[in-house]
Amino acid sequence: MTASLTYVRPDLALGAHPIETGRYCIATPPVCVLYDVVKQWILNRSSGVVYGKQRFGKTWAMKYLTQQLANDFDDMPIYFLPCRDYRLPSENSFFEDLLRGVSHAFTGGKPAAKRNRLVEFLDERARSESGRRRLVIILDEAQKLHELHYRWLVDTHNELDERGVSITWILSGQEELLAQRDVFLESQRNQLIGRFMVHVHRFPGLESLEDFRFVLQAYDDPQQTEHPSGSEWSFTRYFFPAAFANGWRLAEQAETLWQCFQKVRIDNQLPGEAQVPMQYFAGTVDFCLRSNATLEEVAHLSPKLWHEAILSSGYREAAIYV
Amino acid sequence: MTTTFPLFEVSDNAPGAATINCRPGMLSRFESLWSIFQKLALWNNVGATELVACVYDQPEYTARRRSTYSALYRDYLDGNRLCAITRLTSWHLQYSVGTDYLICAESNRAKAESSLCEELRYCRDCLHKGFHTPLFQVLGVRCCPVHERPLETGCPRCRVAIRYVIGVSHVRAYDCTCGERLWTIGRDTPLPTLTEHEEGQLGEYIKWKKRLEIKPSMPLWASAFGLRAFVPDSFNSRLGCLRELADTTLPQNLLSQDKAECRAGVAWSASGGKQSTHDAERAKALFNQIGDPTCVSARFSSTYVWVHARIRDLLRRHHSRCVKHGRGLGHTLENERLNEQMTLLPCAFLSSYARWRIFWEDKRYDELRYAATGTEALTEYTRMMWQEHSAPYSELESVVERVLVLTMIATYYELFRARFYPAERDVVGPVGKFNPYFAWIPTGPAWRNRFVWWIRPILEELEDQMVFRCSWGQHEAI
Repeated sequence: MTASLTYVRPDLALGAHPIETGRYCIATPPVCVLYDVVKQWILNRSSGVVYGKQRFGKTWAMKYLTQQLANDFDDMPIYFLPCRDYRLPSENSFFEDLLRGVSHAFTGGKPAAKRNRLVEFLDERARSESGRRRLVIILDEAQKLHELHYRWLVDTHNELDERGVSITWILSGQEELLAQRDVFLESQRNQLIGRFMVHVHRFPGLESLEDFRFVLQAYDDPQQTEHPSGSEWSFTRYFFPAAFANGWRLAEQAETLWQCFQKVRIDNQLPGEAQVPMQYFAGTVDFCLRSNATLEEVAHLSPKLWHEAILSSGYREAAIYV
Repeated sequence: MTTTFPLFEVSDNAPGAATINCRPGMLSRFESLWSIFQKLALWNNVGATELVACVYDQPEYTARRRSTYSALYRDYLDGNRLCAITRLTSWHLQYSVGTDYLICAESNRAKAESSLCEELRYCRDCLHKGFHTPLFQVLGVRCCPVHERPLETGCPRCRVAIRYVIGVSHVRAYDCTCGERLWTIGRDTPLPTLTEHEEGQLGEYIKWKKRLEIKPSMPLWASAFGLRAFVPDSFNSRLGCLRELADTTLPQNLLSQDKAECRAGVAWSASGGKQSTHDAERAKALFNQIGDPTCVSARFSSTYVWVHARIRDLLRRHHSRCVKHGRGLGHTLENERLNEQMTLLPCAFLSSYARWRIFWEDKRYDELRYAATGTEALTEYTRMMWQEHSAPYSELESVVERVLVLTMIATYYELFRARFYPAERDVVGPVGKFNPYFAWIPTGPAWRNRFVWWIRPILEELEDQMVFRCSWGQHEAI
């Protein structure tokens, strides 16, 4: 099977491969779990909070889910709306952000006009795109929302509810979001909890050797990391074509990589749990693939190389200071 | 864990193409660009300025940005962008501007421009449904083909003309500057705005009108006057026509009718041929009694009643001076004497009436000896309208007025020709192509230009206002 593989790589512009641009997202065990959880929330018509530490890849995971869930739910409108930080909550800027988030061409006007425009837009999309009269709205960086913002969202939710449109809210953010939920619970803001924060899900980093192996397998698997589309060239095959044809796989390096991360962690006495944020993991693998790409039939990825890649990814500094 | 996902690449471009609120299901096939823009403005809570900036101001036109754009044409409109942001398709925009309804627009823009009205013309029933079609902007069309209602211009309250443009001049969508709201959109507005049947009716009419425009055997003036050839398929409507036919008396009797009877004729015509005025059961019985509704009396008499009464009323009201000169005109069949009188008549309206009456006198005795241009046209039209027993009365009412105008134009023309070119009475030239209003007039190019220059303001006045007032004294040259 592998003997028939060609060494001639697909024709790509210099620096255009996702490993070189860094603009890609692959499924990790936390993403797969999150996918199942969120899918269940949508099926149950309930809302939830996804929280996790910064740089763990929540935002990318959410964007990834936005695309996947749209396929699963027959093109049901799913909007990914990033929240912005404001010193004082303003209805004007809040609805403008939401309009921009749903890619509305008109973001100007008075606050009431913006609110009506948004409601009208969501209503229309919920009716037209799938006919289910349902929407999923993912609010990223939701820890930036103030209570006033939630109140405005409640109004929007209620107005759409009156029109027969049901919204599933997914709030994604850092751990402060969980604290915010606790405050709402304690202060009996049940109308907010019921609409936006019924369930809670923790989004972790890569926590074990199995996680590492799972992700590295994705780099090998053309079904998951084929680029360009239709070429059957996975990321690993693109950078190590001969070795890949010879049967070598990046997933074999999982244990080495795991130990390297642990070593960096122990050597530098990094605080916190033994989790590797996806950003640094991907940065490490990207660095390694980029700088060690070879046409030889054997790929020599030593622990030293991996160590160097980990340091270059910024994992150590981030773990110390963030 | 066996779940696998395909690669997800994050694009560096914007997250998605910008869109705006739009409900394509609420737009009908023949909806005008003007109406579409008004709805978009309403649905998006924006003014026309934002919309125009969004789909009109392409980079190459930025230097000459305008405040308003005519809704009659697609000039400067970025159709692809409009479709992209609204999810409308070419289906929605295919008949959205006035030039889509004129075949000549492709080859002769000037001709198309002269055939389109730059002020909003609307059918009130259509507007209540939130619908407007550019067909209404075609000058020859006088009635809404769907509701059989005469088209209106100007604001219903202040009567000020509403410019048919897209741009900043509109304060609010579907509104007049006086605050009158022509159409109020509601959340529960039924979808779609026109039923399939109504869209079909409109489609048939448009097809027929286009066919008229390209078919040389058809009289061009007919298309200019917006005559309709499609047959209403409503049984009630047909019965209503038959009932009204049966209720009228024979032409012989009509000529001796007194004023009261003539006014009765006005009454039924003013009903506009609405189905609600028809008694279906009685009409059905009458339908059986009539037997052969194609007989001459049934075909022509009702038209005559109305026209006779109207002209006589108008004559008495506005043409008292010329009536003195034309008294007794039309009561005789001595055509030679009549022709003499005609050339001496000071008032074109009276001339028209005389011709009309002569025509009926001829019909009465089956002596079609007098055949002036106007009466020929009238004959042809009347035959066409009644051949299929399908002409709706609301249409007939306005068209009869138009035929009178036509007759008047013919009269003006002949008087003009006789006055200034007495030696060239028999000159017959090719059909004019510059304006369908005059295409039926047999005249040469030299004639045409002078005639049009002279007649055009009068024609416009008559067509726009339909006010029949005696112009004696104003046109002493005649």
